Amino acid sequence: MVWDISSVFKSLRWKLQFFYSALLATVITFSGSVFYYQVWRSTFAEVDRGLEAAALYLDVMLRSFPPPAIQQGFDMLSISPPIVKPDGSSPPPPRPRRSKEQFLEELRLPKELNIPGMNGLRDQPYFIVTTSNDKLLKKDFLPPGYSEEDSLGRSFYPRPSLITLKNNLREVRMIGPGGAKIIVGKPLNQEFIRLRNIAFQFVGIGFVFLVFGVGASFAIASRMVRPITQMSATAELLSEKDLSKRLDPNQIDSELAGLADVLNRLFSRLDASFSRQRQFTADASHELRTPLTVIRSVSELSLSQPRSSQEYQEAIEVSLKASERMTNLVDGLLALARLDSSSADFHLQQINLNDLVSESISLLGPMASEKQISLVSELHAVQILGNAESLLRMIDNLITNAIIYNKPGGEVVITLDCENNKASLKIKDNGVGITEEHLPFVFERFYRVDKARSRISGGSGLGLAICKGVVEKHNGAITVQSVVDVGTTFQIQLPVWKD
Amino acid sequence: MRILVVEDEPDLLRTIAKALREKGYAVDEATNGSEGLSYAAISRYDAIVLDMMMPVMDGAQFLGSFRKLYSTPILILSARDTVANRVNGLNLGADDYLTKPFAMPELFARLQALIRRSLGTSENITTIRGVTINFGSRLVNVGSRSVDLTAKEFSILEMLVLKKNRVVTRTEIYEHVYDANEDSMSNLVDVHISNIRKKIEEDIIETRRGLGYIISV
Repeated sequence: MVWDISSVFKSLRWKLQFFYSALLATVITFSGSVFYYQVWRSTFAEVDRGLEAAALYLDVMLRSFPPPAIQQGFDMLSISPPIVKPDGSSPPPPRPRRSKEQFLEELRLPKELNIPGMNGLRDQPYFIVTTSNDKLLKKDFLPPGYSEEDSLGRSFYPRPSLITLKNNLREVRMIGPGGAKIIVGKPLNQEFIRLRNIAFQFVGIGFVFLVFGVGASFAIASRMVRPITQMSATAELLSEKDLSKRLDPNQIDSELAGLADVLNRLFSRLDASFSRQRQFTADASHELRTPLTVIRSVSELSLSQPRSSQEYQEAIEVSLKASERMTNLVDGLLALARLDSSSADFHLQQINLNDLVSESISLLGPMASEKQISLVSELHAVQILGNAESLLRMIDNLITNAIIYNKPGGEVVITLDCENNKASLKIKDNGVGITEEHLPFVFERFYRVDKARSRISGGSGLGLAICKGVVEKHNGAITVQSVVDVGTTFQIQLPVWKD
Repeated sequence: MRILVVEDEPDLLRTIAKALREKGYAVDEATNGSEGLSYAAISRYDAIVLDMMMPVMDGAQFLGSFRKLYSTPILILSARDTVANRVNGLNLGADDYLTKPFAMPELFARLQALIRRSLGTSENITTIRGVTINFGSRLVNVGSRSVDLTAKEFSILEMLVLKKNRVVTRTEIYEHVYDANEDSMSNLVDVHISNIRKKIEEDIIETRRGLGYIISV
C-alpha cells in the first residue's frame, strides 16, 4: 500500500481520529499544567509559610530583650539587682538571667516549626541574625557558597519579605527589634526534585491517557465510519445486473438514515430504469427476431429443393413483407432514440399546426376512403413552436390508428383550436374502442392492445409511444379516452407560439 | 409422425408447416395456445412446436394446461433468448428450447431427437434384417443399395421401426401421416405399405390381419 499523506487528510476516519487526538492532547496538557501549577504553588506556599513563621519566631525571641541591648549585640547584658519590697520581704528570687552565650545557644529554629526539610538531613533551613550594623549575632546551617555580605546588603523591611536567590534558595528577611536583621532561608533542591518527579509522573500518566484516548478515538472513529463503510459496501454490491439490494434503514443511525433513504430511492429508480431498459431491449430484440426468423426460414425452405417459380415468388413476397416490418420497426426505434436523446438535433421552428393537420388529412384521405371511413375536420389556425417532421409523424400515426381501428362506414373527427393559450388537437373515432384494462398502458413501448390485429395492420407497437415522446418533447400533454364499441378520443395539448 | 405447430406469426407458421410436410411429417397449424389445445384434444401428436408470445393464450398458459393431460414432447421456439427465459420454458414442462432465428436443419434434428427419445430409443440409425434406416438423413439402405422412398413412405416405415415389436393400427398410421389439411382414404396406408415392401424387397413389415402392421425384431 502506498502511503499518501493527502489520502489521510481526505479520510473522514483519519480526520476524526486526528481531531479527537489533538483535542485529547490539549485537554491532558492543560489539565496537567493546571494541576502541576497548583502543586508547585502549594509547595512554595508551604515553604514560605514555614520560613515566615521561623522569622517571626526569631523576632519574638529577640523581643525578650530591650532593643538597645540588641543594638549593641548584647554586650551590655548584665544581671540587674534584686528588688526589695517595703515590707522587707524579698520577692522570690528571679530566674537567673541567661548569659549572652546561653541566649545565643538558645537562639535557633525549634524542631516544632513546620518548615519542609526541617528535620531532614538535606535542605536544612538556615538563618542569620545580625544587629542593625551587621554585627553577626548568630548564623546556622548556611548552605555552602552562601554570601552573607550580598545577602545583608539587600533591603530589609519591618514585615517579613520573601525573595528567591540563585542556587534555588528561598529566603525571608525582616527587621526585628532594635533594627536586628533576621534572615531565614532554605535551599529548595528537594522541592525542585519532588516537583520534577511529579512533572515526570504527570507526563507519564498523561501519555498513558493519551495512548488510551487515541486508541478509544480510533475505535470510536471506526464505529462512526462503519455505517458509512457498510453503506458503500452495499452500494458496491449493486450493479447493473442486480439492483435488488437495499440498505436497511433500521440498522443505520438516524443521521445517516436520510442518506440511506436517498440512496435507496436512487437505487429503486435505477432499478426501475434498468428493468425498463432491459424490457425495452428484450421487446425490441423480439420484434426484430420475428421477421428475421420468417426471412431465414422461408429462404432455407426455398433453397432446400428446386421450386416452381410461383413458390419462389411467394417466398420473396413473404421476405419482403418481413423486411418492411423490420424497416418500420427500425424507423420507430430510431425515432424513439432521437426523442430520448438531447434536444441538440431537434430543430424547433414556428409552425402553423393547422397546415400540418390538413396535410396529414389529405395524405391519408385515400386510405380512409378505401376503408369507407370519412374524415371530418374542423381546424382553426394555431401557431406553435415545434418540429414539423416529428409532429407530422405523430398526427399521421394518430389519424391512421383512428382509421384502422374504426368500423366500416365510420367517421374520424379531427378538431384543432386554441384553449387557454394551448393548442388543442382532438382526434376522435367511433371505432372499436380500447378496454379499460389496456387504457393506462397504450402509450408504453411495444404494448399491444390486440397483438394479432396490430400485426395485420403492420404496426410496430411503437406508434403511440412515439406520439407521447413527440408531445412531451414539445412540452405538451397527450391523453386518451375510450369507450368500447363507442370510440376513442386522443387529445393533444401543446403550448401556442407567442411573439 | 404427426406434429402440431403453434405459432402466431402466419408467415412463419406456414413456412415451418410446409418444411415439415416436405420432410414427411403430418403437420397441424394453430395460431395461438387455445387453438393448439383444441387440436391436441382431437389428435395425438408425436411432437409439438410451440411459440411463447402469442395472443389469446400464450405458450406458458398452453404448457400449463397441456402438461396436465399429455406427455407429448414439446419444443419451444421463441425469440426470447435469455437464460432465464430458457430455464423458465423448460421448467414449465417443455422438452427443448430453440431460439429464433433458427436453422431449419436444427429444428428438424431436435424434433427428430425428441420423437425418438419419447418412443424409447436414442439411436439415429437402426438396422433390421439388413435394412438400414437413418432417421437423421431420412435414407434407407438394403445392404449397399439405397432405397428411394417418398416422404410419406419413409414416415410410415419410420413409425413402424420406432414402434417396433408393437402392432400399429391403420388408424394410428393414418393419424400420424396425414394432417387435418389432407383428405385421404385410409386404404392409402395399405398402398403405401405395399410400395415400401416392393422398394425394400426385404419383407420386414408383417401384416396382422384385422389389427395392423408390425416390425418385429
